[in-house]
Amino acid sequence: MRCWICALVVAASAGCFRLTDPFYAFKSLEAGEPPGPGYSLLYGTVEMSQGLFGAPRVDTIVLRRVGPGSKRALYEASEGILFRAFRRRILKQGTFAIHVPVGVYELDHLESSGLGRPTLWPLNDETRVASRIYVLRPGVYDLGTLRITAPDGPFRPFHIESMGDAFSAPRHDALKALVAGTEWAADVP
Amino acid sequence: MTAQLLLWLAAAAAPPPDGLWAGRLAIYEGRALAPLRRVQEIVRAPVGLSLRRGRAVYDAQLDEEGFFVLRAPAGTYRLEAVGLGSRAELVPPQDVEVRPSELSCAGTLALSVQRLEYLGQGTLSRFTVVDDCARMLPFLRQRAGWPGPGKVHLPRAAPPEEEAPRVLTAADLLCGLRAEASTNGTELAFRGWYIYPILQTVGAPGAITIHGSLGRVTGPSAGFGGEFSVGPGVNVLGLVELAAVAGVRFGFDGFPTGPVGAVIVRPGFYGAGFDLRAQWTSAGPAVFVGVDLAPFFLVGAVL
Repeated sequence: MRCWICALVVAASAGCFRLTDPFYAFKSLEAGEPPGPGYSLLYGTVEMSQGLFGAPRVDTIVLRRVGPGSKRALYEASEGILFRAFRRRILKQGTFAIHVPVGVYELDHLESSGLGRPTLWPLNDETRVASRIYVLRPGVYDLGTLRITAPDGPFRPFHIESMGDAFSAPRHDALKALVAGTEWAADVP
Repeated sequence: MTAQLLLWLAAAAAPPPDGLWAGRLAIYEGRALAPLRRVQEIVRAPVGLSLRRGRAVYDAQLDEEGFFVLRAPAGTYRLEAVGLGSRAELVPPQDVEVRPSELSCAGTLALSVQRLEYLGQGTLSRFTVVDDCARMLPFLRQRAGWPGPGKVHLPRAAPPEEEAPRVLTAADLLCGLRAEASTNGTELAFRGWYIYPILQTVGAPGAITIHGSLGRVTGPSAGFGGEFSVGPGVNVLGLVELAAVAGVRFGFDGFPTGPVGAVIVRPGFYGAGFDLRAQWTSAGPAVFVGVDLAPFFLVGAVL
């Protein structure tokens, strides 16, 4: 009986903590190697504005590829993946580094994990278009910091504003450190 | 103009086995041809054309009338967009062939938009390739100062670019192991399942899977059955898994031997779920209810 209660407690609290949390907190963002010749490294930061209960912690960022071609595909940077302790970390405190093929991308939605199903932060069409990223030639792209705000209240559609700090000196240094020792390094002089 | 002429001559002067790709880019506002200068004023960015092969990108030289020339090593390239500075108007991907020591005429690449202000928004634009090379080729050769042969190689619609192959790690594969216990009130079945994703990954909405199981079935009478079954499955919306399996039961100590078929509806998430199983054996139909767990998935979720 005690075993069953323990198992239930562990299962119920799986959304709250993971055994590797103490280790994972210190795991750095990693650029990895290009998975193919036509791939680019997208580096960016997403910040959520303060809500009723502070700024939500975003642990999944989903980009949607809107072209070329009509096929839509989602590219996800998440901290909620299986066996995450043993995999490349692609998202840390809102900053992500993901591999994408040439194309045009939009921020599709954000997610925050908690008890039960994750909270989805959907973006409206206007916001998605404003977040559009053109990856037209393989390389390293710094999107800078994108701040998600809700100027019309917490339940209104979210807006996105770029902080205009892409390739700023601090970000450039951080990006250079991130790609050091990888094939991407040639793209970050 | 002189500088552009020099660029054209420089582009044409390099040695083989490079080839030249030349043609005209025409941007229409409604039905009216828009001069490139006006387009650039409105989008506040230079208009450009480039071809890509893998990581290599080659830019075309465009003049004010939209005529372009591009020198690149021979091969097949992709044309994916009309560049507008840091933005672009996407076009349906085209395969472009550059032949060695040859001027390939691309015809006129016509891009139509309702209003030039919409360029770069990816809405309501139309891209067509017009074969007017018979008229244009002598002009292109003269303009590029190209003494070599010139042929018509129009861009053609390209298949979708292959993305990086799906890589299933050991963890992904181990997550396919599942343990199930189910009963219909008279029989108790313990099964070990293996679920292999054919399309997408396990648990993803729309994932197509192959299900295989080995099980042990006991009934009210003495003896037990060893069961093997296999079949396809599909994940619906990430919430329900549907599978149809068929197999055989080998009976021991009086347990009946015979074929078995089942349709399984499994609401839940990938790590655990309920199993509602409609089953047919030689003894007749039966409905089983059970639960299952994917231990590696659950371990992976807490690591």
